[in-house]
Amino acid sequence: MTAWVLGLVLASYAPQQAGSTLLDPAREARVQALGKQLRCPMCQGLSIADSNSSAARAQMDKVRELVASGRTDEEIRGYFTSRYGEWALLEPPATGMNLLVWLLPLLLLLGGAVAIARTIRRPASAPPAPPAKPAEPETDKDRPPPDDPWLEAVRAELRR
Amino acid sequence: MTSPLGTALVLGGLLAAAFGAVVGIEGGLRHRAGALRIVLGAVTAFLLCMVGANLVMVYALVTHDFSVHYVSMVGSRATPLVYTVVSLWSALEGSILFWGAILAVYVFGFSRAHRHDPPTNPLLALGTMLAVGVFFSFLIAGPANPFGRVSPVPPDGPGPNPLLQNHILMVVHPPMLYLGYVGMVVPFGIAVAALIRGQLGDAWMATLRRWTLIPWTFLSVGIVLGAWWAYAVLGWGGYWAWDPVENASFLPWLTATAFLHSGMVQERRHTLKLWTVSLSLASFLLTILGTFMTRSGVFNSVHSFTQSEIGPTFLVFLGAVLVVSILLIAVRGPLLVPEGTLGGVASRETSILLNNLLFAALTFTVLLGTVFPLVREAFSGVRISVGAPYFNRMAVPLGIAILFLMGVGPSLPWGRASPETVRRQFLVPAAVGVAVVAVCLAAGLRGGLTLLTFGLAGFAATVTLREMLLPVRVRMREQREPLPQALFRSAARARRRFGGYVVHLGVVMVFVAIAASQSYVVHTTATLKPGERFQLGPYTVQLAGLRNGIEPHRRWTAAEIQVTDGRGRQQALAPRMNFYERSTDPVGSPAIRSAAFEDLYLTLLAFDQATPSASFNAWIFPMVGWIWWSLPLFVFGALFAAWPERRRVRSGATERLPVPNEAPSPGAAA
Repeated sequence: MTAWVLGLVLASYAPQQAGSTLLDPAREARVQALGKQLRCPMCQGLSIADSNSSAARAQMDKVRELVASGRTDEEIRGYFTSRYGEWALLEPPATGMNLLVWLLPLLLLLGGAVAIARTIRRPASAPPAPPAKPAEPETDKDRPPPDDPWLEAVRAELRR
Repeated sequence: MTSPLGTALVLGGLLAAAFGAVVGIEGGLRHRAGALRIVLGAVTAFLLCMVGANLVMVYALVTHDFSVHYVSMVGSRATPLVYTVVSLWSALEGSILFWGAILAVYVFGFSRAHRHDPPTNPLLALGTMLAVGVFFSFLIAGPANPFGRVSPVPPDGPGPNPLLQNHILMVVHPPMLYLGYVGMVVPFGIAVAALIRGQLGDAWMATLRRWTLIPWTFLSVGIVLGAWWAYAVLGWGGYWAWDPVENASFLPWLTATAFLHSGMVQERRHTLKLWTVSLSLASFLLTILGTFMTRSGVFNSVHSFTQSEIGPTFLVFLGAVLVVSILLIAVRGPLLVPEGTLGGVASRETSILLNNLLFAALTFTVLLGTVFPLVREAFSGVRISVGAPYFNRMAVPLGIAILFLMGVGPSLPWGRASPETVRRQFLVPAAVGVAVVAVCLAAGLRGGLTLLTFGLAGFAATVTLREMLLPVRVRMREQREPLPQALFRSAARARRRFGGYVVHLGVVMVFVAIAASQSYVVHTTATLKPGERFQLGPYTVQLAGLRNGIEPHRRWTAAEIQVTDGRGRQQALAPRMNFYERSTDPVGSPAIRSAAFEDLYLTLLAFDQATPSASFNAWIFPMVGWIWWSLPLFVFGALFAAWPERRRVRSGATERLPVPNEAPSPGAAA
C-alpha cells in the first residue's frame, strides 16, 4: 500500500502539460513538415515531430505559434538555427563544406557508371567472344524459342 | 571466486587464439598439412574458454554476485530472471564478452566444416579469424574487463537500461545482430586466405558465399527485429530513424548483399574476383566500424553505452585491419585475374554490375552521412546534423532503382539478350506494373514516388514469380508431374535460385510496406477526460480512465482506452508510461492494434491524475506490419539457398568443383 502511494506521488512528477491544440489541417500539415526537419534538442537524432519528449512538444507548439503568426518556412527554420545553430536542421543546407555530403555520392554514382560502361563496351569492340550458350537443336515446335538458358537447362536435365 | 575464474578463462582464450593464429598463418604460408590439427585444437580451446567465461558471467548475474564489476553495473535483485540473463549483453563489457563467445562458435563451426579440406586455405582462414579473436579476448581481458572486482560489495545494483527490459524482442534482437556482425569474421578470413594465396577457386568461392549467407541471414533478421522493437517500444511511431547505430548495422548488410550478387558473376563469368573479395573485406571492416560507433560513445544514440575506454583500442584495431586489407588488395589483388569476359548491355551480369554500383553508392551515402557531422566538427568546429531527411532524400531514389533492377536482372539471360527476348520478357511484367499503378490511382491513392514504388513492386514480383514458376510449368507440361511434385522438384534442383527469389519476394514486401506506411499515415494528437472520445480514420478512441500499477522493477500508469473500429468491433488498448527506479525519464509503452492492412498506434504523451485527463499521439500506419511479416520469407529463402546439397561433391576431394562454364546447370544458376 505504501509502495502504491509512493508510486502515485512519483508518478505525479510525470510531464503533465496538456496536449497541444492543433491548427487547421492545412497549416497543421505545414507544422508537421517543418517539425520533421528540426532536431529535437534532448533526444538522439529524432525530429521534434517524432519525439514524444516534453521539450520537443514545446518546440512543436513554438512552430505552431510561428506558423499561426504567418511566418514563412524559411523564417521559422531561421528562428531555430539562430538559437541552436545549424545543428537544429536535420538536413544539412547544401552550402560550403556541406556540399561534400550532397555531391560525393553523386560523383561516386557517375564514376561507377562510367567504369561499368567502359567494362561492358570493351568486349563488344573486341573480336566476338565465344558464344555464351550452346545452340540448342530445336526439335519440338511447341516449345518457346530457346533463348532462356535456364529453362533449357531444366529441360536438358529432364531429358536425361 | 567467479571473478578470478572468469578472468582466467578469458586469458586462456587469448593464449589459445594467439597460438592458433601464429600456427595457422605460418602453417598456411608454408603449406604444412600437420599444422591443421594443432589449429583445430587451439580453436576448440578458444571455444571452451570463451563460452566458459560467458557461463561464468551468467552465473554471476543470476546469483546476484555484486562483487563482480559488470554485475554491479547492470544487475539488480528486482529484475526478472529473463532480463537478468539478457543483461549479459545490455552494457558494453558484457556485450563484448558475448561477442567473444559468438566469435568462438563461428570459428569452431568453420573449423569443423572444413577440417577435411586441403589444409592450406583453412589454415590461413582460421589463422586470420583467430587473430581477430586475439583482439577481442585482449579487449575483454584488458580495457573492457567485465570480471573486475568491486569492493566493498554493494547490496544491490541499478539493473539494466530500462529501454532494454521493456520488451521481449530485446531478448532476440541483439543476439541476432551479434550473430550477423560477428559472423562476418568468417568471410573475412576466407577472403584474406584467397588474397594471401592469390587465387580464388570455385570451391573456395562456394565456401566464401555460404559463409557470407549465414551472417547475412542473421543480420537481416536482426535489423528487421530491431525495426520492430523500435516500433513497439520507443513510441514515436517509427521503425527506422537513421540513427548512427542503425546505420552501422545496415552498412555491412549492404556490402554483404552486394557480395551475394557479384559472387554470381564471379562464379558464372569468372570475372569481378577482386571486387567480390573486396566486398567481403569491406563487410568485416564495416562491422568493426559499426562496433566502434556503437560502443565507443562517439555517437549519441539510443544504442550507445556510456563513454568508455575501448574507443582508442578499437580505433587502432580498425586501422590495422584497414591497412592489412588495403595492402592485401594492392599487393595480392592483381593475382586474382579475370578468366572470363562480361556480356552485353542487356544481360544478367550488367544488371548485377549496376546492382553493385547502387549498393556501393548506398553504402557510401549512409557511411558519409553518418560520419560527416564528426568530420565537419573536427575540421571547422561547427556542429551540424545529418538526419532522416537527408538519408531519405538520398536513399529513396537508390532504393527505387534497386527495386527496378530486381525485376530487370532475373529477366535477362547471361551473356547477351536479343531485343526480341527483351521485349518478350518485359511485356507482361511491365503491364502488371502499369496495371498496379492504374488500380492505385483509381482507388484514390496519390504520390509520385509511392505509386512508382508500387508499380515497380508489381513488376519485380511478377518477374520473380514467373522465374520461380516457369520450370514448374515445364515439368507439369512435359513430364506430367502433379503441381506439388513439380514445385518441390524444381525448387530442390535449384536451391540457390529458388531461395534467392523467395528472399526477393520478401524484399518487395518490405518496399511496399515502407512506401505505404510512410506515405499514407494519418496522425492526430488529443487530450481526453474519461468518457471523451476522438475520431481517427475509421476508429473511435475513447478514454475509460487511468490505472496505476507496480511491478518489482517499475511502476506504471496506463490510460485505459476503448477503440471501436469502422465495423463496430471494440478492443481495449492501454498505452502507458513506465517509471523505473533509477531512471528519471519515464519510458513509454505504445499500444498497437494490428490488423492485416493497418495498425492503430497510440502513445500516452502526458496525464494528470487530478483532473483526470490524458494526452495522446495517435497514428494509423497502413501495412507497416508487412515489414516484419516478411521475416519468414527472408529466413526460409536464405535457409533454402544455404542448405547443403545432399549429393554434393566432397569439397575436400578437389580444389575446383567441375562447374561447367558454358552450359548452365540449374543447380548453379542462382
